[in-house]
Amino acid sequence: MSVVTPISLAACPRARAGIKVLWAANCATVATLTFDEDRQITAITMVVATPANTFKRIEFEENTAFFNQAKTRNKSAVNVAQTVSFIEPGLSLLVRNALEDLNGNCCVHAIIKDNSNNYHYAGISYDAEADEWFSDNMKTGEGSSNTNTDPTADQAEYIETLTGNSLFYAPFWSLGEAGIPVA
Amino acid sequence: MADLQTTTAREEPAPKGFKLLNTTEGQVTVLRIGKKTGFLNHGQKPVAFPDEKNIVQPATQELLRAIYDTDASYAQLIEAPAGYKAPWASK
Repeated sequence: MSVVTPISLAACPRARAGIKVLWAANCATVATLTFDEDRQITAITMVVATPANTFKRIEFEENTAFFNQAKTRNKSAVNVAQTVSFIEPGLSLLVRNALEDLNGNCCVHAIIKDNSNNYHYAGISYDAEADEWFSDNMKTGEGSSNTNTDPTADQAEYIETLTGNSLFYAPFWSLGEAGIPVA
Repeated sequence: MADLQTTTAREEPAPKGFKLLNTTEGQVTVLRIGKKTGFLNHGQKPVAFPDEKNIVQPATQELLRAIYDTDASYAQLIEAPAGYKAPWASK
């Protein structure tokens, strides 16, 4: 793709740091993604099952989560290492089990809503020239369960991450929260 | 997904001949129909999705046309009858 596209600086760009919430699903539940000419996702085809294959909402402590996409150039190739990190305050049975379930998935798709209300679809690579996509086998990475030490300064918490390697930055999801199939 | 709605088709009958390109039973697509979010059942049997409260019926010609008209990218999902011109085709 030998095209250079101009970038104009917005007068007041939406650039608030952090992420608000994410939704995750096993790759096998997603049959097809449809992309438009702007390389954003306009439709998702799910494999229906009982219980329903849907995305699961994952909430976390406010202003503790981020979605980082670190790009490296390796000779003629580009790689983007995607990392989602979030903190779950308190150590509880419910959260512990939910994290164990998340860790049991070796291929995850994640829709991430950032604090500027952009939706990023992580865990896939999209080749716009071929109009083809594939899963990146995003899965959980480093994490911890920590009581911490000082009740006057710390809290007990879980830290969890999702990691994967992609062809480029995550495509945008155009359907908003209403279009995310959650049960 | 509280505000997901299935949009009703336009009043006038759609021309016949809209075809789903993927007819796999047990698959549902979430997409936009006009300005709303809706569902497209790829099979011939009603399916509950994303939960038991929402039964997605097999697609009608009117629904296929409404989806097709919404966005050019949906031509990857639906084939229009020969000579049909979607609103987005003139943009």
